Amino acid sequence: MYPNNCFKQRNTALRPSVRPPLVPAARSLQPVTKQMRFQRFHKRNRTGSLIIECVIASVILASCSIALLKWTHAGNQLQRQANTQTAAVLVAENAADRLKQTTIENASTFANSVATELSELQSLGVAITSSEFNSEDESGPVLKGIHFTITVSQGDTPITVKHSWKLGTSDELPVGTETPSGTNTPTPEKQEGSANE
Amino acid sequence: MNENDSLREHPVKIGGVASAFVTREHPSHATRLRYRSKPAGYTLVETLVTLSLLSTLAIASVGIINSLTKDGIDSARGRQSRRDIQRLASTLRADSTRTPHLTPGNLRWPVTLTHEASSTVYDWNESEDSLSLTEIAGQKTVRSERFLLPKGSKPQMTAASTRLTLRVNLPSENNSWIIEGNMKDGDME
Repeated sequence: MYPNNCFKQRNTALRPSVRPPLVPAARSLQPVTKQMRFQRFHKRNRTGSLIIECVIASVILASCSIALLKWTHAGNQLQRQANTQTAAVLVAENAADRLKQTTIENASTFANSVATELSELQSLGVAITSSEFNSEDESGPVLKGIHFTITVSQGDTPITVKHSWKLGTSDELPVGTETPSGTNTPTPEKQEGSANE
Repeated sequence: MNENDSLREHPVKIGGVASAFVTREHPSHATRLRYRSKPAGYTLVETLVTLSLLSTLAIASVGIINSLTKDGIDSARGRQSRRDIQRLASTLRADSTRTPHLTPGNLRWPVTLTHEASSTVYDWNESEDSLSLTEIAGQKTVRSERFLLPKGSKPQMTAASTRLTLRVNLPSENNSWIIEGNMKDGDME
């Protein structure tokens, strides 16, 4: 081979457009079939990648949608729960407000009627228990009264508990009696208090 | 120079040799297939599939973002209305204890509660879903408040002989917020 030809060969190798165009027909068929097989393989491969891309995109989209749905559902449930809690607190306050109108004598009956009325107003259950209250503080006047426990529940689950007191006159000290020091004892009648749990 | 080299230099038909070789000027079907192996760009199907995927993702993203924004706004409004109903409860209870008498029955907005030295006007603004309170003493406005309530809740105020009741319906739930206040006359019973 001449050096000139060597140069030409290299030149043709660098530029595909001037590749040796003449190939024996019998020999050229073999690479062509190879090429066709490669093309078919390549095409199949690319189709596969496209399907995989579609599947991955769909999976990502579906995951995002499911996560969002769950999040929205949880948010709505929390909001409903918060609204129910607010309603329960308001009902308990209403009960305490109504119990202010009672007297110590009929406290138990009145509490029961209030509980029934409030339960009928809403889907929440109201239970009011009353117990006698006796202050054991020896330094001050002995106070007697009724301690109400208002429990608002949904089904069997208690939502809120509120305490309320109705204080009456003490047995030992008549109302407004003058103490030896000359100061008036504050009238314990009609005292109310409430506390939320 | 051998035979192949001379043919490369003169890639034309050369007598009977042409039948055994394939030239560039007159490529056969097989050669054309060979030279057409590499695609120059994307096919129409690929482009269409990509565009459809992108558009689906874009539409889904817009929907998701819209839904998130709406949820955020609703949640914030819910929080605000829960706070405001507690505030309204204490205000209404305090106002009702200062009110001696109201005509029993359903009250129409605006509701005026008359006290000894002033009067409080409660009014419902349906477009804003808010309840406003204005206390007027003489000709002066001494107090003004606004309570945001849940969307679509149509609050209703009812007066009984001893009690004032405000009912706020929660439209999306089978529940309602009820505020009761003892009136001045009823408080002494």
